[in-house]
Amino acid sequence: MNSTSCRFTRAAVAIFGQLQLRSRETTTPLLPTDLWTECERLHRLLSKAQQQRLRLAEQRLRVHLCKSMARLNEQLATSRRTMDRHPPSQAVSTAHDMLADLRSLQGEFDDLSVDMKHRTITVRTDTIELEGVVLGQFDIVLDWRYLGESGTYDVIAVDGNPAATSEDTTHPHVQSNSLCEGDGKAAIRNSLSEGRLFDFFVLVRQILETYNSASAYVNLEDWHGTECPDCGRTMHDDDSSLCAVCSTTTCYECMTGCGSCEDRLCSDCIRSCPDCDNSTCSSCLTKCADCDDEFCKGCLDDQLCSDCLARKKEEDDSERNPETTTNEAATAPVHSLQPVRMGEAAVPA
Amino acid sequence: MVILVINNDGGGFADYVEVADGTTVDQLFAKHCQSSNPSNYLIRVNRQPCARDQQLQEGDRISFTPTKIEGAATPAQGTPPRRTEVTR
Repeated sequence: MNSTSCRFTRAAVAIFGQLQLRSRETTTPLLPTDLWTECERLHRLLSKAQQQRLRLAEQRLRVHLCKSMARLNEQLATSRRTMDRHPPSQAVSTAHDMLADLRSLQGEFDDLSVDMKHRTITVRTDTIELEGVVLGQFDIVLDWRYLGESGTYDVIAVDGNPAATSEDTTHPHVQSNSLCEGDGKAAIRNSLSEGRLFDFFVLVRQILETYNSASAYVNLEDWHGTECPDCGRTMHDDDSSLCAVCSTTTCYECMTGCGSCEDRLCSDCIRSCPDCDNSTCSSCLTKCADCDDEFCKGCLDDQLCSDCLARKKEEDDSERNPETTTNEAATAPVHSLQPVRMGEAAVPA
Repeated sequence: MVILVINNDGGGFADYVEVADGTTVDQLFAKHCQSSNPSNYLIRVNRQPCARDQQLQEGDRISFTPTKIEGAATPAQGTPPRRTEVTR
């Protein structure tokens, strides 16, 4: 017997032992023997109390016995339910079957290794390519210490090509080395609980070779894209643009063109003119010579914004025609300064 | 004769069934996977690829595994976190 064969045999025996242990834990519940002993004791005491006509003791013992019998009944019902839930499978593998599984896995997968120290079996898949996206090879690592429980195996990318938007997603259905089994869940669970190692590894491989676009962590069409920092959508090279100011790449829809120079800018760098509200870049904004607020070139006249320009015009006008202002004040009716109140009559100046 | 049939489609049941002598792989597949196309399955007899017209023998182990099994993106409820660090 060579060393590989010897290791396979030791592994098969160890896995079989583990499965037997697990099977006993789940399918053979403990019987409530303590409660039965208590019932027997109370029954004996009750009989004695009846014989000696101890009415008060008989009454109390009867109550205690009834309670103990009820608890015994409950415990038995629970144990029966446990046994119903875990019917013994007719097809649980023997150590010999598992050894045959391991030998056959050698032919099914190029690489198979058994690690007795860590109690793992590892197979390596061929390179997996789905819809033109090469995802690489995967190691399926089964930890047989937890056989029959969920989460007992890992799917590890060997030369990973993770999704550009999520480093943990190495396959549309694998995230953080954990496979989401989908339609294969029940079959995988049964194969593990029955110790069908060959079926387990083949089932996992078939899931890895299948793409379900309706329920993927990252869709393959978005595999090589990057995430737009503005809207979070996956974008591709032909759908993205570089911000002219900060050089951030965002999707085309999140870019806004400057109304003056037509540069495209991200949402952080785009500004708007407070007067006309048009989008513009900061370099196309100019400070108003008077109020220091920034405006687009179209909204500045003689380096002044419309408000400052109007105010300046008003001041200029008043400087140019000071009499008009004085005459207007002189000719204004007195009642405009001192309005006629109730009970008063207007008197000419 | 009695053989072990493993159907990894759906629930993935495994059971010993009584079949007539001379039953072929094709006939058993038709009985267990009704309307399905055999080309959509990996069919193994005693874990080895087989011919459609191969006659089954007493004690054989035959398995039907779909070639396409759709995974999902939502982990099973109650799946515990990995308990072991795998060192390679």
